[in-house]
Amino acid sequence: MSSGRPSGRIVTLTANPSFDRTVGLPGVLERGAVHRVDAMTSQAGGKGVNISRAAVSAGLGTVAVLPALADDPFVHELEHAGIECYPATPAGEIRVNLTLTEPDGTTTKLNGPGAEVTAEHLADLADTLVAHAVDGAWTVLAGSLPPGAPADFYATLVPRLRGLSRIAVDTSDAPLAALVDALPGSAPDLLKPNAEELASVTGVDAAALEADPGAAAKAARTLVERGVGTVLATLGSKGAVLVQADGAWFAPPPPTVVVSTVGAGDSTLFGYLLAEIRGLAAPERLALAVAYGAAAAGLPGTTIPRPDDLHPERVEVQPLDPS
Amino acid sequence: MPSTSVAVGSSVGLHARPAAIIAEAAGGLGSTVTINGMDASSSLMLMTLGAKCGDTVEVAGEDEAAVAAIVALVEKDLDAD
Repeated sequence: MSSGRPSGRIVTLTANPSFDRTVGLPGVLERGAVHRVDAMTSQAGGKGVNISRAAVSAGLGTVAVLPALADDPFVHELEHAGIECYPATPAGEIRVNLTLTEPDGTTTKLNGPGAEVTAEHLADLADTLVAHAVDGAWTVLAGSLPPGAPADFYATLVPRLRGLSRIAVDTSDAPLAALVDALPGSAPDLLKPNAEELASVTGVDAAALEADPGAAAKAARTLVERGVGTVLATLGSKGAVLVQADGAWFAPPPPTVVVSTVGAGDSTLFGYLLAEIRGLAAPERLALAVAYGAAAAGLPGTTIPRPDDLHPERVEVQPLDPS
Repeated sequence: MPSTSVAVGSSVGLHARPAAIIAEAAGGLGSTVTINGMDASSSLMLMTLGAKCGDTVEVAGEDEAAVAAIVALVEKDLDAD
């Protein structure tokens, strides 16, 4: 089957990649005991990786930049999935995030720290990304930073990428705070916080933002006034708001049976990027973003929605009062 | 399942007005038709294909007449009039 030529590629950075291993236990987890497990799966993970996977699924070209050895199984897995990889010098082995699931739904997570990076590792990673950003319509900086990385890694990377491609950032905690502190110099074209992240950088209560799209839009607008092009704020089961200089919109998700919200935020971000690359207007970008997020929430684990899982026509976008 | 390869005839590709016309027609067929796997009744999904004028797309569906109706629209320049 032939499809339209890809007119926009998405370049992703995964600064702190992980192998996500899931172990299914047949009974209750007991400390000190030997367990025989039902099933064990392993998948190359990370927010940037999730977005590259979504791009492949939607027929877009994608490039992943990450610290890994060129012959690491992690890189092979991504290349096999159709993702072009540019590995930068790693500080050590790729960490493992282990999830133990019990039949009653109880989940125990043991997340590895990742190897401690030096300034040289980060410089190589940043240079590799800058060298390939020009190949993309968008460059996505997503996820946590490895131990040893300064909190302002993303904040200093954005100005280097400006003019090479449009820039999207999705991160939390100290890296997000550092980015917001350095506005407008660090301003990305798109910032995708959830309610908690938006609350943390605007001094508003997270529960209040999730409950009131108008309040979320107002908080997001303070970031647009400081130079961010567009803020796409996800409000969990309530949907998402989109705020830019010329308007603000809210869209609740279509009725969805939630199976796993893991990776739903990454899918939401990807839906926005896909719609933007295809030249759609702001309300349509929000509709596709929310459709992607809802479809991801209805699928197990970090499963990426396929085009036939998506129902953007069921998403009702409402303009918000700009004041 | 009947399926036909067809070149996009609209000068702007499967976008804006052509996508809206095709989606409206597909929505009234009573049988699901897809274009490159996307539900043809959703103009938004059609636009995410990024198919340009002259690109070949695959129109498929259970009902042969429904597929033929959408093929006719895809190969026509819907921006012409």
